Amino acid sequence: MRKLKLALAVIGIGALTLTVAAGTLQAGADRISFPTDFEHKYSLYGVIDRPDLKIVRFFYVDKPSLKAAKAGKPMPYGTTLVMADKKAKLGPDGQPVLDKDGRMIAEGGWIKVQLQKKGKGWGDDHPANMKNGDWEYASFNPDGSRIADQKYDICFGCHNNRQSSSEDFTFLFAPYLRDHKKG
Amino acid sequence: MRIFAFALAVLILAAGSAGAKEIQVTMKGMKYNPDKILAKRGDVLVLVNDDTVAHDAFIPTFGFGLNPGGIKPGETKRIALAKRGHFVVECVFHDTMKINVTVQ
Repeated sequence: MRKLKLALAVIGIGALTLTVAAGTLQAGADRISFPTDFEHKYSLYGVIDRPDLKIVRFFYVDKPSLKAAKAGKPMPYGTTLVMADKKAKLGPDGQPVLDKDGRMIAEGGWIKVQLQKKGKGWGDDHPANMKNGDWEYASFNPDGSRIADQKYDICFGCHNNRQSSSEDFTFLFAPYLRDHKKG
Repeated sequence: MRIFAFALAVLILAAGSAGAKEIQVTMKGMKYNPDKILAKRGDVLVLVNDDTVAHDAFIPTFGFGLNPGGIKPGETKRIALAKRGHFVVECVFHDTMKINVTVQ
């Protein structure tokens, strides 16, 4: 009976921890607002073809942060990275159509917009295993409304693979800066 | 004369495609092998996961960005080299895995 009670207590604590973590991640996402007109106001720093998902992913960064980072400074607080998806043009075989350089062709409007933003102290609320420095993530529909059931632990888990100081939890922005740094 | 020109054109096309090759890259021990590749436009990288863990090859280089999706142990993914230039292939899960690729 004692062992059963102990087991139930452990399960309960585990469930509570997961609930708190999920709630913390959602609260973190709520810190980030949708950047209207980002495709014109921000700078494009990457385009990734995803033939497995049949989408084309566009990556933007806010211009003041790009300027600071290109000058050799660490990515500043306020750095806002946008990952925005469009559907890929498909051929009659249902596969992506490629241009002369083998690149997929995006068509239509945005289908999903996801953000990665850095704020001072933002990481303080997260448990160590669900923390990417001071970065938070947020997912939006193209009309700017939040995606209600987004699982942000996936973002944190994947970006944790780039936790070295040179990458600062980014997959494309750090390599872009290395290739485009001033001086 | 017309038949000769047609035959010549077919031969030239065949020679061009015959020059394209498949370049096998093995993923094992959290490494890509080879990790430096000099290729020609039209060649194909064949990524073979010979490791015990999943990998996820992707190209972050601006102008060449591509992520063909995760590669489980035993699986293979192909990357067609249709554009000239230099780019780096990384792994989403393992930041030390890199291939420097130059396409001529």
